[in-house]
Amino acid sequence: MVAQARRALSIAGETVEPAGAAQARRATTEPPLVRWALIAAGVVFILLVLVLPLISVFMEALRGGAATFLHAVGDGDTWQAVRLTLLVAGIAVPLNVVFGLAAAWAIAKFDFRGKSLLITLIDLPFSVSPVISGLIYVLLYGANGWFGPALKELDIKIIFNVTGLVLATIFVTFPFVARELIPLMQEQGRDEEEAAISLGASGWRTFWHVTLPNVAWGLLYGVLLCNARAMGEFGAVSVVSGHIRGLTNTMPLHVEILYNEYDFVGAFAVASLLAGLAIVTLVAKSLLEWRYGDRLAAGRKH
Amino acid sequence: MTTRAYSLGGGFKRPSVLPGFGLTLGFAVAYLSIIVLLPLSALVLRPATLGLSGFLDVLFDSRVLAALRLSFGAAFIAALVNAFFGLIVAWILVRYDFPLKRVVDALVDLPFALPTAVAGIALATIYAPNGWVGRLFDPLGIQIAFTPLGVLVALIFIGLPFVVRSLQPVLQDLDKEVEEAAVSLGANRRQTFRLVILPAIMPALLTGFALALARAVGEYGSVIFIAGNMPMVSEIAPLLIVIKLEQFDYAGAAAIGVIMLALSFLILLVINLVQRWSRRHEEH
Amino acid sequence: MTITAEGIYKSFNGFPALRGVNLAASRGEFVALLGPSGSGKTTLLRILAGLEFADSGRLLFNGEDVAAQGAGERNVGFVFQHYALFKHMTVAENVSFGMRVKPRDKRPSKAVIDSQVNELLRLVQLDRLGDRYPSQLSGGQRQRVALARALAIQPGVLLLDEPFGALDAKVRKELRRWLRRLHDDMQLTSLFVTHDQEEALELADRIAVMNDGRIEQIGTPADVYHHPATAFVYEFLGNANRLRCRIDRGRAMVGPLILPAPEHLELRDAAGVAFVRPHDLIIGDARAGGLEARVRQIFVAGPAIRVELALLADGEMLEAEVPHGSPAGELIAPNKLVTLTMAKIRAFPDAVAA
Repeated sequence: MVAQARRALSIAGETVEPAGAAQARRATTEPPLVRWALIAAGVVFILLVLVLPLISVFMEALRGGAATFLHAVGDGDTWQAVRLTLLVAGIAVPLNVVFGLAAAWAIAKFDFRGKSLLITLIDLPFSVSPVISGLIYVLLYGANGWFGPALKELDIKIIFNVTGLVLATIFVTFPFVARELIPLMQEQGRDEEEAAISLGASGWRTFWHVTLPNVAWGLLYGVLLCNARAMGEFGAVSVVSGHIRGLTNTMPLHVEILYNEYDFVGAFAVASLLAGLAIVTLVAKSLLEWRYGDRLAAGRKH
Repeated sequence: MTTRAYSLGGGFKRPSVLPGFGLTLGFAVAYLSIIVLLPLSALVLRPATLGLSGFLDVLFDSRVLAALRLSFGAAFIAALVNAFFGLIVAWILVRYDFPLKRVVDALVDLPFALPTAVAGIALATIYAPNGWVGRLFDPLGIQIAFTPLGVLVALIFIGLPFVVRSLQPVLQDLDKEVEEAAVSLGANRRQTFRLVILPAIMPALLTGFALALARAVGEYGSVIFIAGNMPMVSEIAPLLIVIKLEQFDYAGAAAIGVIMLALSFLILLVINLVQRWSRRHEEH
Repeated sequence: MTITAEGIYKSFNGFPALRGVNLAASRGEFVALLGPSGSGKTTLLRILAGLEFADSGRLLFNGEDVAAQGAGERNVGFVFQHYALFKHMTVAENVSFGMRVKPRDKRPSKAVIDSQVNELLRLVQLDRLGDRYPSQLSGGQRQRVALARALAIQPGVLLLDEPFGALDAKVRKELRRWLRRLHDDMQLTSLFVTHDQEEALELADRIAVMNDGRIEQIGTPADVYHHPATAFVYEFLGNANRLRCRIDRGRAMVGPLILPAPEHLELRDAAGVAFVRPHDLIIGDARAGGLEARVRQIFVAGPAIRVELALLADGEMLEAEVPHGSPAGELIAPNKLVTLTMAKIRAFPDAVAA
C-alpha cells in the first residue's frame, strides 16, 4: 500500500499534466476568449445604456460650478417641490404598507375562494401605463369626470391638487409591498401563528411578535422599492398635477419644467438629487440582498 | 362536520383558528376597489360615450395609428435588443467572475430606481447631436435624439432589468449535469448552448421579453424628452393621451388608453400561451 | 477497451479528493467503485469521463494517453446519477442526440439515426415510448433512456454514477440483473460507482473499495468480502463488531479470549482491533466463560434473531445473530447475563486500522 502510494507519487512527479490546457477544456464553460468577449459586451452595454446617463446627470448638474449648482438646489420652488415629494411619498407609502400587510395576511394565512384572482388584481397596476394611471383619476374626479360636478358642488378639488398626486402615486406603487410580502408570508406558513394563538396570544400580539419579525426584511425591501417609485413617479402625477408651481409640482415635474424652460443646470441639479436617491436605494437594496438574500429569495421563488 | 370544514367545497373560506380574516380581507378588497378597480372601470366605460363610430374614428385617426405603431414597434424592438443583451448580462453575472461584478449586478436595477424624468433628460442630453454619444453618430449622418431611434434608446434603458432579473434565477438553477451529458455525448459548446441550454431558459427569456415589452409600451417619462414628439413621426401613444387630456377630450384620451391596454393584454396573452407551450414538458 | 489510471491526484480548492489512485480495467470487465460518500469514487469516474481533469497522473485508454482529451473526444458513455435527460426532447430525440451533434461529415443520415434509435429503444425495452417526454416516464424508464442515450455513441467504455441510486428497491433489483446481462451481451467495458455493497458484490467482476481518496483494495467480490485487506474494507463490507485487542505472534487477545490471527505471525504484543461478524458471535451460558455481556434488546422478526448486547467490562454495544430454533435461543432473554465467544475474528494492528 505504502509502496504503491510512493510509486504513484513518483509518477506524479514525472508526468506533468498540462493543467492549463486541461482547464481550458473544462466540460461546461466557454474558452477564455469567448468568456472575456461576453464580459466585455455585457459590461460595455451596461456602461453605455445605464452608467453613462447616471454620470451625465451629475456632470451636467455641476457644469456651471458648485455655486450655480447650490443656487439651483437652494431655489424656493425647488424646496417646495422637495417638500411636496416627501409629503406625497409620506402618505402613499404608509398606506400601501398597511394595504400590503392586510392583503398578505388574508392571502397567506387563510384559504378562500378567489384568492388567485385577488393576487392577479393586486399586480394589475404594474401593467398599466403611468399616463393611463393618471388618466383614470382624471376620468373620475376631473372637471368632466364622473364625480367632477358633484365635487364642484362640494368645492372639493382632487385633480390639479395634492390629493390627486397622492392617489396617482398610490396607484403606481400599489403592488410593491404586497407582492414582496405575499410570497414571503406564504412561504412561512401559518404554524407559528397557530402556535401563538393556541398559547393564548391575541391576534394583534401574534402579528406584532410572531409574523412581523419574520417578514421585517422583506417588508423593508418592499418599502424601499415603493418609496423610490413614489418619489420618482413622473407620468401619472404629470397628468393629474396641472404643473402648478409651489402647489402641485413634485421634484420630477419640477425637473421637466426647468428643462423645458432651458434651465438645464437647474433641471440637472434637481435631477441629481433624485439620482442620489436612486443610488441610495440601490445600495440599500443590494445590502439587503447580500445580507438577507436567501430569506428574500425563498419567498420570491413562488 | 370535520370533513366539511376541511373541504373548500362547502363555504367561501376554510375555517382557521387565526383571527383577522374579515378585517384584513375587507380592508384589502375595499382599498383595491377604490384605488384600482373603480378608476379602471371609468377608463373602460368612458369611451362608450363616443359610440362605436366615434371610437373607431379615434382608433383610425392617422395620428393615433402612427403613435400606436411607434409605441408598440419601438417597444418590440427594444425588448428584442434587451432579450439579447439581457441574456449576455445575466449569463456573465451567473457564470463568470470578473472585477466589480457585484457593482454591475446592482447597477442592473438602476432603471427601476432612477426616476424616469431624470433618465429622460440624461438620455436626451447624451444622445443629442452634441452629446457624448450623439456626437459620435452625428458625422455619420445618424441622429438619435429627437427621432424614433431616440424612443428606442429610452425603451432599451427602461426594459433591461426585466430580462436580466427573469433569467438570473433560472440560469442559477440550471442543472449542470445536463450540460455535461451533452458534452460527453460529443456536443461542442455551441451545440450544447443551442440545443440544451437555450430551450431550458426559453420560458424565462420570454417572461423577461414580455415584461420589458409591457413596460416599454406604456413608458412616458424617459421617452418624451428624447423623442422630439413630432406628430406622425416620433410621437408616442401615451403622449397623445396627455395631449387629448389637455384639450379636455376625456373620451378620446380614454379610448386610446383602452386600445393600448387591450393590445398589451393581447400580446401578454399570446406570450403566455407560447410560454405554456414551451414549458409543456417540464416536471412540476 | 482497456483502461489504465496511474497515480491520479485531484484536489478541489486545496482539499484532496484523490490521492494517488491506480486502477486498471480490462476489456469486457464490469468494475465497481465502492465507497462511502466523499471517498472520491465519483471524482474518479468523472476524471475517466473527461468531465473533470486530474491535477497529475496518467490516464490510458487502450494504451493511448487521453488525459488531455475533452469529454466529447473520449468516446465514453456516461450515465448520470439523476440521468440528466434533456427535458424538452422526446425519448427518441434524447437517444439520437449524440449522433445528431456529430460533425456534418461524420453524421449518419436521418434514416440511419432513426433505425439505430429504434434498435436501442428495443434493446432497453422502450420500443413504443420514443415519442414520450422524460417527465412522462417512470424512474426506471428514465434510467434506461439515459443508458440508451449513452450507448448510442457506441462508447468504448460505459461509466455509470450510482446507476440505481434514485430507484426504489424492487426496480433496482430487476434493473441490476438486466444491466449485467446487457453488459455481457454487448461486451462492454463498464465501471460504476456505488455506495451499496450488496450492489457491488452482486454485479461486479471486480470491486475497488475506496476510502478517503485512495483505493483500499481491488479484487473479486469473494476476495474483498472474505479476505479484506484493511480494517476499513472489513467494516465497510457487511456488519462487523469492533473490539479492542492485543495481537501477539499470530494470536489475538480479546479480553480473556485468545483467538487465532494467522496473518500476524510476526507481530509482537501490538495493540489492534478485532472485527467479528454478528453471525460469528456465539452466545453462551453465564458460566461458560468468555466475554461477559448483558442482553439489551432482541429482534425476532427477520431471517435470524438479532440480539443487542452490552459488554459488562466497558458497556460497548455488540450485535449478534442467532438462527431461529438454535439452542442459544433458549439463553436469550432481556437483561440476562451471558458470555460471548467468537467462531472467527479478523484482527488488524492499529497502524493499519487507522
